[in-house]
Amino acid sequence: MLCILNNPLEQFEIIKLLGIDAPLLPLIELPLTNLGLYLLIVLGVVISGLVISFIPARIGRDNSWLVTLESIYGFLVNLVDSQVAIAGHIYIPAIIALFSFILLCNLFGLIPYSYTVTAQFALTLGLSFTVLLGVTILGLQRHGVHFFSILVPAGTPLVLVPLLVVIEAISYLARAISLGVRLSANMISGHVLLKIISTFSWQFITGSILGVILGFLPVLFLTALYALELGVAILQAYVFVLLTASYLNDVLSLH
Amino acid sequence: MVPSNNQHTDPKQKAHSIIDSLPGNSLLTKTGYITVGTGLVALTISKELYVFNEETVVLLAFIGLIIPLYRVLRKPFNEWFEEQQKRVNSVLDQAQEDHKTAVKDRINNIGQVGDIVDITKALFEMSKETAKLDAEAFELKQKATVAAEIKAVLDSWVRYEASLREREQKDLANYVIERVMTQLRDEKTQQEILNQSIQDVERIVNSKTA
Repeated sequence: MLCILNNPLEQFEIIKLLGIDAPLLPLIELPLTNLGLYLLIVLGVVISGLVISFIPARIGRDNSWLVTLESIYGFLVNLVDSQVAIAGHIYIPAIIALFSFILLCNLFGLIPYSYTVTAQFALTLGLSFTVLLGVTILGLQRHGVHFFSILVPAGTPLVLVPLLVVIEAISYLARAISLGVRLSANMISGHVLLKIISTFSWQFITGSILGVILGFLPVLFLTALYALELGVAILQAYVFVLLTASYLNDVLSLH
Repeated sequence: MVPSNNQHTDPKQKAHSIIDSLPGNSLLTKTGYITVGTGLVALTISKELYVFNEETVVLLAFIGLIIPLYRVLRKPFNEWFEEQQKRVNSVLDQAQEDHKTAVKDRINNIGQVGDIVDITKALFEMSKETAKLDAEAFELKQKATVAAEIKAVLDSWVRYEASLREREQKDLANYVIERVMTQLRDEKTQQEILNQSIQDVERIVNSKTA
């Protein structure tokens, strides 16, 4: 039996689809990769999804899409309310944008033959560093120099302060990495597992007559795995914004 | 379970429903569509436009997840949506009712103060009268004050006059007494009085003896 096992990480490769050659600026290239294409698709879906929800004349009465969006909005408002103690409402648009973007990227990645944008560390780390940088700037803007009291937990003995400042600074900065890596790692592991199982299933199905007859069994297993991945895709988007809201609360209220 | 039993009992109807679900108006166009569709699928596979590989299994699993998920979630979603719709409708209706009630209340309030002009006029008259009465009362009060003042002044005058007269009488009496005393102390007067008294006594004695 011929056994060809493709590298399961191949699916995350960034491929250049279109590129603009710039001979005058040889170091600058403007390529459209599969990553960029899917980001554009997600952007288009987010915007058109919002636009479509406002099309029916009687808003909120017969529009199931708008009602769904409203309930997602309400869910996120509750999340921000429960997480951010002080003046969290003005950050709700940012939280909603993050949630809808990550959720749609995750869900698009689940469609067969598509590409998972959020499995790229470059993208998720970019997002998480942006979030941390943003909340740090907010904290500095709001509290000035007092912002650095976030590095000293209340009631620390004076002797331990230098040590704790170092530890807290590392843990604060590590949030940026953990936030992004959590999302990407979950996406990568799920898709790799799907790829491996599907490859084995394909070989089982095409390998023998028995495989053709019992081929539905691995497909069923894969379906169950798919359901799990769907849950993970939604959960990871939720976890990302939950932690963002929690970091926001930390810098706004300084513990 | 009941619909599937029905479908099994009536295969002709089931077949018709499948045929009806195909695009086209007549049986001929439907057949045409099926032929063209099958041909296209065969062509894409034979020309390797579509390749069967492990991704096909993923596709099958995906479809296997999406279709049951859609079937399972459709009913709860619709129920949830209807509930939300009812909630939104009730909120809107309630708001409309509240608005109507508020407008009615306002109308009633305005209706109650419809004769506001007459009331205002009456109030104005009443206030005018009150002002007039106030002025009269003030005038009377002033008069009473003036009368009291005059009475006080006159009383004090009378008291002064009385005391003055009393002092004058006292002075006069003192003067008379002083004068008499002075005359009595004078020897000449005393002699005169004595002589007069002796004469009176002699006259009395003479008259007695006579």
